[in-house]
Amino acid sequence: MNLPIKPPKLDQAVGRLTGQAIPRLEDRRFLTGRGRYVDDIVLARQLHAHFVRSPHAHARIVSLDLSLARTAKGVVDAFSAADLAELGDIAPNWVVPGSKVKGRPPLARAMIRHHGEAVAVIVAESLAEAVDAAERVEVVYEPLAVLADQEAAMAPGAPRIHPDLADNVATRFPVGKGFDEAAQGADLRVAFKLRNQRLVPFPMEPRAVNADFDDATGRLTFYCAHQLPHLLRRMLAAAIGFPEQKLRVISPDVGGGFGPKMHFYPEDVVLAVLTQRLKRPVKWTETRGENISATTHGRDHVTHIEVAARSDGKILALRINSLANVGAYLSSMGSGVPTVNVALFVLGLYAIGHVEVLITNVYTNTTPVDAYRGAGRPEAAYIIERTIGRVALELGLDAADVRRTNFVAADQLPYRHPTGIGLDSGQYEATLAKALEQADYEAFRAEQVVARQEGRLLGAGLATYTHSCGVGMAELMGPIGFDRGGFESALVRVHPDGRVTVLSGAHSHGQGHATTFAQIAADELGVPFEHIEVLQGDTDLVPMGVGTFNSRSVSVGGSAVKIAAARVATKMRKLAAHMMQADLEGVVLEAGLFRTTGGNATLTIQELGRAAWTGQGVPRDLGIGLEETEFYHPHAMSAPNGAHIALVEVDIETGEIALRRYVAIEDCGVVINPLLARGQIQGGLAQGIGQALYEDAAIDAEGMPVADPPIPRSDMMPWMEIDFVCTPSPNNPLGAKGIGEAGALGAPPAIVNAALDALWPLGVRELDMPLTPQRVLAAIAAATAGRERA
Amino acid sequence: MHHRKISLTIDGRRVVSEVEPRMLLVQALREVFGVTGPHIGCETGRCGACTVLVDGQAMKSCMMLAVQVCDVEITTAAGLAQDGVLHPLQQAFHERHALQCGFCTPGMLCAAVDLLAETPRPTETEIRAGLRGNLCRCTGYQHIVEAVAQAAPAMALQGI
Repeated sequence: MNLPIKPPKLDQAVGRLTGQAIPRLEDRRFLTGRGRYVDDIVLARQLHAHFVRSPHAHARIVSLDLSLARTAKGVVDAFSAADLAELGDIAPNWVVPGSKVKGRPPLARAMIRHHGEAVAVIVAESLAEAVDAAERVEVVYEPLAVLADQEAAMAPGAPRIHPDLADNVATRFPVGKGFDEAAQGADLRVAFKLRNQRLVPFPMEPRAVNADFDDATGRLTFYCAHQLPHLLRRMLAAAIGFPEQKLRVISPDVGGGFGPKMHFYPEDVVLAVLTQRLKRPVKWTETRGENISATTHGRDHVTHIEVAARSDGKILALRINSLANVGAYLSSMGSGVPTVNVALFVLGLYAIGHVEVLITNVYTNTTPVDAYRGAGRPEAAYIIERTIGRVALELGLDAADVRRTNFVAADQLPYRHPTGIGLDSGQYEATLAKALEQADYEAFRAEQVVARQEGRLLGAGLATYTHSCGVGMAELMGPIGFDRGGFESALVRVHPDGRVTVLSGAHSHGQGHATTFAQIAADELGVPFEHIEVLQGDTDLVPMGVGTFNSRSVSVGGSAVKIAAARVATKMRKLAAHMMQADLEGVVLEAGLFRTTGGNATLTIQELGRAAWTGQGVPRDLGIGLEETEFYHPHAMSAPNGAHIALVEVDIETGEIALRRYVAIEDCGVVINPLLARGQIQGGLAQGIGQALYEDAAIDAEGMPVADPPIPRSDMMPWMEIDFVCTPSPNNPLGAKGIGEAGALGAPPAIVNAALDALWPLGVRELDMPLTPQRVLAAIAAATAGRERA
Repeated sequence: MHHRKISLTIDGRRVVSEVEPRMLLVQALREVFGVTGPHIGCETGRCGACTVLVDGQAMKSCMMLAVQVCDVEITTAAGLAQDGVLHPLQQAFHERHALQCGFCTPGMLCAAVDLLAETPRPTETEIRAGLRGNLCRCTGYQHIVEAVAQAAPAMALQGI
């Protein structure tokens, strides 16, 4: 995993609009009910699809009869796997070497392996008619024993989810060695187990597809709520054997993604085939019930941790053994997220010399697990931050001191962990100090002592997390089996009237690229910010791109915009210098007007634009137009980091946890728009706090996920105190690091550490998320019983 | 199934149609009348993305049948702006960055209009309680709370 860090030589000056808290350019359509999501699109001759899904998590299909459904009113046709025999399994996009790949079947063939797996699809003139006809589908299932839990699936003699495999192991991923040697002589050795529970990602807009094949042109237009339009086009074209240039993916407004909307799903393939068969557009919008059992889940690790430390808190070695539940099939990134994205990141911000990790991906009878906000790195942050917290409690040290003792030192940066992951820049001690000050940490510690004497349980929890953002480098992605590019595209075009179009291969599903990318372009071009329109989400329009995930859009997509815009700006100045007969150095553009320093000549951007796009009066060597395309391919990623503090009070009678304060100080490098960055942090925190306190996919013994995931509501969230520290990343021309996933990494360990800090004197040693009152009371009761026995 | 005639006013526009008795109000708004601001984010009434104002009161339009709303006045997010000028809540949502993906926003705005009609100067706790029927997965609600608090005095001034 070693690649030299080679900073590109580009101007890192912060421009006029970069750093400004500007409200979004794209808001108006959403505020006035005019957003355009896939389900809002109705095409002429529209057909509607409805999937018939298994109520069992593990079953054999004994018989399936669609004949009655086919004759129902309004039904055009109905299909089972036998009718779509040309389709293979959905190929994952990331296959960690050595993985035993079982992709999702487009429709179940003979076996059902998770609740909600589709067995048939009905196409009708209206959705209501398709749903009605589903009642007439006759399926006989032979239910089989359900293995929903990864520990059960790994037990000797456990039934196999895929009988042609030797066991239920999908991937084994070992990293590092030397724990036992390095642990010798440690003052403290502790082993503990924790669970990072499975979550339902729950974007407010479920998945939606409208597939429209035109047999006159041979073109397929595929409307899909997606984070990676170009990658979806490639995967879909390959899956159905369709010429890629005739396949147009349009991802209009997307109602939240959080990971699951970057994957490639059975329904995508099925609809692409049905529209070709039926020669009419076919639409499918997921119901929330389908979203809970058919769209990918997140997290789900059972982790054993061993740590060896000196009495001053210095960690000598770490050993981690984690079982990751990947569900019934490997989804797009299903083998890589639980392995590479966890194992390589478990050292956080700490200089720990020895780490040994083994992660085992396990097939079970559950919905496939894949990337969800943070995608493996929250699991890694949870492991290391809980470990630091545990070491502090065991040794009776302050959790802040243990962090300081273990931080990678300022003079070690840039630093590379034994796992190969790099830390580019940061001020870890200063960031922590700022958080402690904001939280009135010392005062809280004093209050905690007094409260304990009164029988009240206060706790402070810290998390000084990090991860890598801005993927990435093709040289690294290839060897780990991640089959996509790490670049991002941007096209910047100044029109004859001086207005600007920016096309970007990233794709906003709420992040606000239309605003941040316009800020970046405006600083380079010197044109008014409002004159810039950013367009995304249409593969016929936008140069080949990658898409939005891994908090990469600003650092990679924004850098592409900056570089392309800078090239256009250079050309504009050259042309202006020629037209004004001035020296290049003496040309400045401000608010759409070129001037010469020291001279009186002026030139409007419209005059320049017209010249550029007619070529009249323009030297041949300057070429036609004001348009540049950049495919920005990073040389290195960045490591955003932050210090989070949760202050809690635990009610010993009810088990309820009151989150009194939550402080997050973030170092995400140069911030393009602090208003939007705060929104990203708060949204991530809501999901992190949700995981810590409320959320759980809670799959039961029959393999059924929770019917109503406890997504945080407005009155379940605390006030979040957020501030920034800025250490520019040396690894991209913007100096940006990434912010979208931050909150989801910091909040779970900060809150659980706080609860354990409160409960430690009672003898509570471990507590798993979500910290429900029942679970807290049970932990207190178990600890009390343990003390009484002793 | 026999269709039933319904007539109602949507965002100031009088409309008449015939719908199946089982059709939900949100389906009628979206599919029959082409008003796509109210969104469908669940099928159990838990998410609030379909919230509209029915005679000024916030209602989840997925929890009502279209045939229940004959001769009422429905206001959606599309009907809040007057003569191209954003409603104070819309303006405050914009200025405070109280929306990201925008999917919950039309429903959230309608819930907030009702909240401020009932409680013109709400506390933070009252705002949070008043909006608890509307899920947002993007913002963590903080900017929404700020926006509603900001809009309250402006609305009181305008007598909205």
